Amino acid sequence: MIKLVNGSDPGSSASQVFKTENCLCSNWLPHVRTLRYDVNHQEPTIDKSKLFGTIEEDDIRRFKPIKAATNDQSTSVFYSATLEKFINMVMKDGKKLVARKIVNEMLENIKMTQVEKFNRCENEKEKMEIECNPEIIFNQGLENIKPVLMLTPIIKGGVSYKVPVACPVHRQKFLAMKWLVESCRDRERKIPMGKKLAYEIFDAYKNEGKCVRRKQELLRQCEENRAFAHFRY
Amino acid sequence: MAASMQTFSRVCSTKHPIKELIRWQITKCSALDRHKNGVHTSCRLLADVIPETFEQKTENKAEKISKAMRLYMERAKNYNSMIDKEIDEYEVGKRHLANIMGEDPDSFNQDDIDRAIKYLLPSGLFEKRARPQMKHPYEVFPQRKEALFGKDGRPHHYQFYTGKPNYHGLLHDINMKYEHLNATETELYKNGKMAEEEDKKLFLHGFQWIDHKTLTKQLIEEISPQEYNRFVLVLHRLLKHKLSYKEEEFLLKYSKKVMTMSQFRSIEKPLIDSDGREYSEATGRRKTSNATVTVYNNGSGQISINGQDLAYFKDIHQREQLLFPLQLVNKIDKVDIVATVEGGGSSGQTGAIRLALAHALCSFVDTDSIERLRLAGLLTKDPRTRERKKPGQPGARKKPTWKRR
Repeated sequence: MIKLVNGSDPGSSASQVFKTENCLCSNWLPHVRTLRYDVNHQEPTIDKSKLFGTIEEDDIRRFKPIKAATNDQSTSVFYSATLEKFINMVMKDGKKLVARKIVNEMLENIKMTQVEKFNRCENEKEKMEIECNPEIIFNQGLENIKPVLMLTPIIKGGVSYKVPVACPVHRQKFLAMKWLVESCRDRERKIPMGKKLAYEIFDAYKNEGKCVRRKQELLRQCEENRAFAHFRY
Repeated sequence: MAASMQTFSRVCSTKHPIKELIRWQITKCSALDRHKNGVHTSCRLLADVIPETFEQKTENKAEKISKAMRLYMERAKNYNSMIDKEIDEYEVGKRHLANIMGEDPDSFNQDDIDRAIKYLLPSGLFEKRARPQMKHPYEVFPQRKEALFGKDGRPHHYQFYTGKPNYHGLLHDINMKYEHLNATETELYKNGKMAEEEDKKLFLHGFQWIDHKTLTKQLIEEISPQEYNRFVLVLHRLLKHKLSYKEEEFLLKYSKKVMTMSQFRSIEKPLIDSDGREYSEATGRRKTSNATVTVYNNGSGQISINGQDLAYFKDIHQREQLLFPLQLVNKIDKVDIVATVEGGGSSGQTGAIRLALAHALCSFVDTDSIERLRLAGLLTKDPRTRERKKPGQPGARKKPTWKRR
């Protein structure tokens, strides 16, 4: 992969002849005014299996400085990147402790409900199918909310059209989490947020509920506007 | 303009019009003859200035070019003589300096000169380039190109008129090589010998193309970033060719070996305290927190932070952060940790201790584990600090309410 001199490419450095197929980090940098890190710094590798696996001699990370791991990252079994992102989205006014507490309550609620169901169930076959891991339920629920397509405004001939476009992966994640949090914030204030989130996740897990409906609404609109699909380019 | 046209028409009536026009133009353009004898040449009759024949006109052109060439040669000679003088002065000065320092003048090299100057003329200036220096004239005076064109005014380099002959010549060479390799490839396919070349593909692992500045120096021409990018793309295209191993020497000329990051780290040996226990110390910083951590080898997992247990940090998440480096190198219950931290908030203090801990652990762990710690981002100091508030704004990024008018 080639990297070019600054001036042509925002996040680039001096040219190199490295194999980056094994490199996890993308070289896409967020468009923020200034970066505290030098452009050469690579993202840290948090996955333990990848750290203990083979890293080739000519991997780019061997030749470049690495950014510091944030205070949320760790190689422990309990770390989940999706959950950390979700905590950030739930957070308001920088109150991380509160956000983390809410998300933990959500996971706890999910677990308790499922365990209750498991204990009540008499049929052995059905028992095996009950998923008790709250993280798996959360991930699956999120997957069901992620939209495959999205509408982008494209101006052609002075008129702004809403064109259906394939939704990139990072945008899918963001939209799913955003809708989840928004729908919970709109609900009754008396119910704790953790509980509300748990209810929403359960609905999404079964492909029902507000968030999934929102996603289906979006996909329906994309279908309606499919005549403009060729405006992509 | 009208006057000159009248004179021209007067001249034209008697002689061949085109030849006269050419002669006219030459005289007009010649700055050297502009104000001869106080009269503007363009107003003078050509017959007074130049003889009639066409061949003599070209000779005049050649004379003018050779004059320019002569001046050019003179300038080049002056420059060369100046450089030679500077070199002599430098050599003599070097010997003097060696004598002053009491060292052998014959084996006095550039490092010794730098040391001597630093000692004799100490300077506290922050800009290192403004401090007293003594360098070889080739490094001080910018390099100049040799004569670009011959006596007849004809340039030596076939790309002279691009303005950057070395750069364009180089791109052209690379492309010629690429074309040649393409031709070779087709020949091999024809003869059915392409299969032999399968394993010989060139990769140049751990190499980097020469950077912008080096290229500018090498070519003695100003290379813009866009031109440099083009150069890199073209070189890379040549490297990607199946038969690029044939041009390995050429490609290596424009690449340099890169050092792995692990080579920059020196392995610190653990110290031994009064009880005979091995320990190592390290400091770490995060935001405004400073932490000092002492790690004792062959321990049982005791942790002390400012005299307290791990319960110093009320949040479980922060405690998990401290265990992060230990967990990665499998030393959770195998070392004792004594940490002191001050300044900042709980999160900053956690980060500071984590960094110090990771650095201290490097003394008790093999190079593979150190590399893993580095790749996980545990050995880098987090440079992020609180962004300052700007004037005219309520915060660092927050702006006052936007009003349309």
